[in-house]
Amino acid sequence: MTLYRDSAVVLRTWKLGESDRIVSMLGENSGKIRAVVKGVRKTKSRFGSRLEPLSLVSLLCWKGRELDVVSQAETIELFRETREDLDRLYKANVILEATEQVAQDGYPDPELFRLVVRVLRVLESDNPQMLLGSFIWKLLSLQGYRPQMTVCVVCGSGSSRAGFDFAAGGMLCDEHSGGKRSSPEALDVISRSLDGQLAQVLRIENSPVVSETEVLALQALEVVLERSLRSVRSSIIRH
Amino acid sequence: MYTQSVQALIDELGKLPGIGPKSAQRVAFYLLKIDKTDALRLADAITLARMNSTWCRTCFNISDSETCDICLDLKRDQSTICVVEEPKDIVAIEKTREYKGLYHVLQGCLNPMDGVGPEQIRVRELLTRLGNETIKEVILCTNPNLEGEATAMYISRLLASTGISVTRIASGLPVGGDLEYADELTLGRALEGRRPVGP
Repeated sequence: MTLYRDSAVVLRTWKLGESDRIVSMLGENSGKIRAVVKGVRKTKSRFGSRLEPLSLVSLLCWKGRELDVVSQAETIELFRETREDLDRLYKANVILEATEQVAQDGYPDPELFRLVVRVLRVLESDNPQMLLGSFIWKLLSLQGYRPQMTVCVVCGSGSSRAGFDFAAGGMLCDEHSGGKRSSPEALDVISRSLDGQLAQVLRIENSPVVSETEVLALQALEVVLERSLRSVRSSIIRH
Repeated sequence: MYTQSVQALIDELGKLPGIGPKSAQRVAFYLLKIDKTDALRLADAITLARMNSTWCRTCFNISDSETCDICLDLKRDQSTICVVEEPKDIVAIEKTREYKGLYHVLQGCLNPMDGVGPEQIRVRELLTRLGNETIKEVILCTNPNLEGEATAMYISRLLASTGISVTRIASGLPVGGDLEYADELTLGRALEGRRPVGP
């Protein structure tokens, strides 16, 4: 077995045996890592809370055939405000689950890692209303699912923005929007999120546009993943 | 390969947590080798435990009757409820001999990533119980991990308007552990929860 170092965000954990856990993480240079942490559930474990979901850690791991084994872990960031606030925690769970679903085992994706870390930092410091929607659009774009937002995906006309159908490829004009109508404001937000104008988008305060953008983003993610996110289904935790 | 009854035993043992096919085979052959009365005693213990055990209808702990011994014990402090995730947590707390109140077992914790919401755990039963009984304090004793903390935050939010005192079990360093190995979150909370010493 070989040793390797990486920085990683802990995405999810599962109990294993008496006192171990399997931890799923997004490594900066390793892609999705799945590793065993031995004895982590014991109160005297030297890992303590370092490998709880949401932690950003510096890792030393043994490479295994199927599962790696965590040898050492040091905390880089805890995101403590997020851990202690239900609304932030709901958003963090959606971010972590979406990332866990799209990240590939052993396929390095430093850009995805940087996006997730940046989003978690913004969530921790400001918790803007538009964060979840804009994150999911950026995530989909990074994974190669960028919708067409300049012209209608049916007729190619760029005259009006009236609807949106992610499965069809993106924006729809007035004539082809049918039952899939969306507000021009929400479509503008999606477009700006995809174009990297996140700073401006995140300034949008709680309004119908925020929930519309979020719903469209979650529907698009559902099309890509072919299932809805569990953390959204149990969203009663948010209220 | 094996006789039908032995294969059935291996298959059933293989369904137990942490027992793989090879371990199931090993345990099955051990049971076939030991004295017949010892094997039957094990079978009886399983049958009795399974047939007689039920959930206490008040606190949802494991019980031999409709109401568990803890809920029936009137010497215990009837004004405090300690909320735990699993019945085995009650055993851990009872071993401390520090707590003399009642319990409520949630039978799980909120885990959004596994789709476990408040409907899947015994939160509604806790609220009903608090409405009926004269409870003055609820101690949230869920595990100090992300899911346990979320569960505690959720329940404390639900109870905010009831006037009942809601407390959370303290976080800190394990006795006998080394400070240098403590993680930042635990050590930070231990410092936050420090208390005066001396006369």
